Amino acid sequence: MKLSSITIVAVVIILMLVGLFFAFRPTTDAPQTKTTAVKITETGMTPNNISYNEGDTALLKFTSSTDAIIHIHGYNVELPVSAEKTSEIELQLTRTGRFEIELHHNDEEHEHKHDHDHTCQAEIPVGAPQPQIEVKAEEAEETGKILISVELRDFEFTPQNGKNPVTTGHWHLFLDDVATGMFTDTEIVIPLDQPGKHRIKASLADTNHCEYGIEDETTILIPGHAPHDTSTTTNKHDNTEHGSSATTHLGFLDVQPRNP
Amino acid sequence: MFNRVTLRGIKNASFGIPIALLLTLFPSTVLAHGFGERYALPVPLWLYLYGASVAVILSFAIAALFFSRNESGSRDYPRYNLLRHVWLGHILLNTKISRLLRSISIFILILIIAAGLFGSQRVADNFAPAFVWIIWWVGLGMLVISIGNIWHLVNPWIGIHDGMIWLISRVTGEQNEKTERALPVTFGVLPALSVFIVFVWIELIYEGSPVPRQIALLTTAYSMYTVGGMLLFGKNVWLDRADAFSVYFKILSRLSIIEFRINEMSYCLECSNECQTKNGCIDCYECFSNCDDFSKEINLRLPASGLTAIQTVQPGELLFVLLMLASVSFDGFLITPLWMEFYVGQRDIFVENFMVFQTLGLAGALALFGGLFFFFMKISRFLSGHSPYNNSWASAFIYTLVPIAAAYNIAHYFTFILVPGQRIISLISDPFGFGLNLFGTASYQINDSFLQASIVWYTQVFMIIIGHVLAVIIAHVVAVQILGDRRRAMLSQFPILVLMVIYTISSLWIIAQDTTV
Repeated sequence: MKLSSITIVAVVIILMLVGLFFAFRPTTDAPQTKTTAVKITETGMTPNNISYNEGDTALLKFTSSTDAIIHIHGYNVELPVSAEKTSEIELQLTRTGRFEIELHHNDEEHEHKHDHDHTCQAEIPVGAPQPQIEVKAEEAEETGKILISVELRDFEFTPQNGKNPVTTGHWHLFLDDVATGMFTDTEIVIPLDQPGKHRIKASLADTNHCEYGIEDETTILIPGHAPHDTSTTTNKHDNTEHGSSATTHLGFLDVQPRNP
Repeated sequence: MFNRVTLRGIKNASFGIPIALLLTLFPSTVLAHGFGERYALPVPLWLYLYGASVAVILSFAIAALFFSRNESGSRDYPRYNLLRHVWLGHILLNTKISRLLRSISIFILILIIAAGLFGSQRVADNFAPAFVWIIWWVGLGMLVISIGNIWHLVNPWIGIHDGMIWLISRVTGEQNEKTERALPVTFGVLPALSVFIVFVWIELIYEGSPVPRQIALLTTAYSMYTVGGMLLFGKNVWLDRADAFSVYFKILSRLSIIEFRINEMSYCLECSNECQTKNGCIDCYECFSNCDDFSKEINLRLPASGLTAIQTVQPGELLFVLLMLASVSFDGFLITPLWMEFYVGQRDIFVENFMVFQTLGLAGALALFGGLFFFFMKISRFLSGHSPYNNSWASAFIYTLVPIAAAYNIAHYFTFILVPGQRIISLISDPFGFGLNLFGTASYQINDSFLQASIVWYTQVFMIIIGHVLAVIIAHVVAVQILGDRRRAMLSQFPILVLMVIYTISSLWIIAQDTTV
């Protein structure tokens, strides 16, 4: 065989492979909006794989047997779900891939992520005692609101002209790990009517909003919806401990390439 | 992130447990549960079938091409000596540069141990797991495959050993680094193979493998083993035959485009015979450092051509290569629904002993891959007319499997290095997880938006096909070299072709599975 005939064979094979590729490759329908109803339990969801094509609009309707937050990776969606009502979300599916859907019982991952977001660290003045904070939450008299109270030791909101050095600043409130405000009161009332379990964290910060890393957290249950949780408030002082069931894998959102 | 998996869950679960739930209970591989945020969308059926067809078509095309060629087999592959350029020689042969590289490696080694022992024990916050499993094990492997044996250049244990020898000679005044003890030649690479088996087991099965403290302890133990062995039995003997990673990376580097060669046979006689070929000795680092600069070549060559040089295969090397292939495939197979369903069926027996179950699976994978290999090699040898080749027939072809293993390795792990690998950017600023920010990168967030599913699919399938094609070509070249007779070489290649198609289609099958990692 001469070089030319080798070239011919090579061209024929390449054409064959390219032809085969187009023969195998499927065509996808035009982008569409599809609704998927998803049932969530403590351990999984049905259907456990939600499949769409790139460019589709997904209208996801979640019903849940528990109160929790579901997290769709990749699209970074966090959606509270409850047994009470259907939670809906509409997603424009532009990213392809397989994205995990997780159930957060509590938000350790997020709390942790948050810790890393801090770019500054406040320092306790030399000679000042280590401040302490304790946070409590209960339902306020007015419905749909909660009362959060903090107890502070060795911490002042405004600098006093005392003889001894003392740590000063304010406290930051995180509601379900979302920074909700800064306060210089020991008792505040905030609206919260979303049923379910909520995490309330108070963290001491200096006037520049740099945190001291001194914090406390508690949870509050807006009642009647979480059958597995008997106590309404539980205190959690140790933030370094890692629970073993912070998240549960529910399933996947698959977004297939439209014309691969 | 690590291992929130408990087997109690499986034990208490009812028998009709859905697969999706099982997936969450399974301790998947270290590479997955340590860092894995990214899940690959399985390759669709049509692309799997297309890939398989391409593999078959190209196999026969290559066979036909070889049949039509009239050249004799014993030709050396083309290469280009970089040392022709004097200035390049100054850089490449500069001992100061290699000393600097090894010093950096020693620093990283110490950092890994320190971070593992004293740093945060959260896998995602510690430098040790990310560096060891992603950057070193997977990333360096890919660099070695594509460029050359960088591991030998940066191996920190060589640096520590050389430093200790230097210290000893300063203290005692003796220059002698020769030892009387010898590693029996009949052992071959069996010491390295034993270590490699343990390492693969730790990587794929041991549930503590991503834990920073375990990594620090294992790294310390391995450092003592390697440096101690080099001091006792001699540096190069130990590296060539007992250091699993030197053996592993050297095997992978035969695919690469850079080789170290000595063209003067008289120098080659001094080094161990397994690196000698008809045209000088290749990648014998001991001889290379001892011979004069005029006999040295640092060559560029075509990818994978290094695998066509026939060298003596030492005892244990055959199993070493088979384990490389079997382990990476098993890593993929571990997370397929098939394996999970199989586990559900056996659950009552292995309920407390999941690692035992996995271990049996790994042994089974090795037995299956090995069994297939030897079976097809027997047929091949028969069809070759019982070649008088003095080494065993199977040994001559063992290196033809390296491209398949390497290609699957890249297909399986390239997203892993691209996405979770980014974690190293934030970890270099805060290696201990203490909240430091040494280089201002501590708050770097992993970005995976650039990896669309179709890119992943095509890269995976393309890599596997390329690996298959290289393997088939190399097997032909080796057969022609051994037999010298094209017709017999052709005949002997059909069983090997079938074997390779089986390996390749099984690789494609795994990436098309509905896995969770």
